[in-house]
Amino acid sequence: MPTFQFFQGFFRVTRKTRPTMGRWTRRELSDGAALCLELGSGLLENGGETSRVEETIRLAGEALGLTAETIVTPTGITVTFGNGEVITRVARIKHRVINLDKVDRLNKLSRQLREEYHPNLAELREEVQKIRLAPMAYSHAQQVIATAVACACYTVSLGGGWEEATWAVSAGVLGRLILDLVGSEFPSFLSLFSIAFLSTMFGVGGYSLSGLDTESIVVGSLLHRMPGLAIVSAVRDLMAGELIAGVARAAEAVLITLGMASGVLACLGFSMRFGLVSGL
Amino acid sequence: MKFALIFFASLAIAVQFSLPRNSFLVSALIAVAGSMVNSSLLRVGAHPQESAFAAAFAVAILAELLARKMKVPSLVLSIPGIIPLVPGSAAYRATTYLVDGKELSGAETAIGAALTAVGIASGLLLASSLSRRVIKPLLARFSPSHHPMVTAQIEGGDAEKLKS
Repeated sequence: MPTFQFFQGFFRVTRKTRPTMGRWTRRELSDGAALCLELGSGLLENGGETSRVEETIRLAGEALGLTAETIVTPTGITVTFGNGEVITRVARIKHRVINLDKVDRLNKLSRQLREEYHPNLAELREEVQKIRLAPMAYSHAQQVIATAVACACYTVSLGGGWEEATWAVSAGVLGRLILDLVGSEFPSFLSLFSIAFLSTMFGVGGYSLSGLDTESIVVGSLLHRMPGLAIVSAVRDLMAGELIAGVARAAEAVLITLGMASGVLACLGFSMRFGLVSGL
Repeated sequence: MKFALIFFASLAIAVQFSLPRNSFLVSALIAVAGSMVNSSLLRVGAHPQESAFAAAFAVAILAELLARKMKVPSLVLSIPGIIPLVPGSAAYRATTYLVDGKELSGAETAIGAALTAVGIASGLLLASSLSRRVIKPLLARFSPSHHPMVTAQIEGGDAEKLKS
């Protein structure tokens, strides 16, 4: 393992200027590149904004004494590292989940890398891999309970009563369980469509069985699926000058919303044509 | 009552997105502040679009400021606040109009909902560009704790914590 202990102390003094270390060997370069790439893909696949990924890679490279040029989109990373000798790496991000705890931990790690020189690259890389492979911070049961709480609270705050909240909770929890059973890591169009269809079925059922308010049931049980993260990161990326990534995230948000809207539309249409509800 | 509901819903959203534990309370309080801005503006007589803009701006700017203080990504703090602002009810009503054959009122409501979404986005845009161009440079200039050298010394103990 290459050790860079002789760099220690050097960084503290010349923080402002980019340290130039002479030529790196191929092996050292590839180790540093692997670390930066690992950091970046960990951030990207857990829901970090593209601009944050790019900045993290650039700053981590700088802390190691490498010049890093990156192009990051929501689905992949391309990085060229070099200091004299140049190495290029590409990482494709296929599955994305939303796990902001990991984003925060990786962020802390990269800040630590920047602010105090870490002697061992391999150790740091293991740390990053450990964070990436860590299980979700909350168990499945806890997440289902959270879904139930969110559905109930949103339904009541939208003007529903406790009966509406019960219907919404059962719709939301059932949708969540079905999604987990299907095992889609990222909500695609079809799963969102079916969830919205299910919620609207519950809403229509509540209306026709006991005359409840359909609107609060449907909206309350679907509101927690709204693409909040996609909207926020689209805007932040656009403001950071990441035009491609920002537009891509905005498209993702539109796609999610369209999926849910078409599910609601389909279910309402069917139930109206078949005479289950008349004039909501 | 409504704000208590928003608070608990935001905690639930925080679990779903697995936010870091130290930011649960702050993100839920930001969400409550955002919906307070929203509903008080609506009561005064603002349009839903305007109130959504103001509420999204409040949420985002609070998130940016507190994120710097707490050293977490600002994304983490703003998400639970944005979700209750999304125009779910208006979109649903537009859908029911469309199904019912009332295309005109459907289109009207849909445009209203879309404009609310635009309002949220522009509130976020304003806050994020403000923080990027104004707040960040100001903080870097005036507060010594944002200087990289000083933070390195303050946070020196973090390495041991991360290793264990």
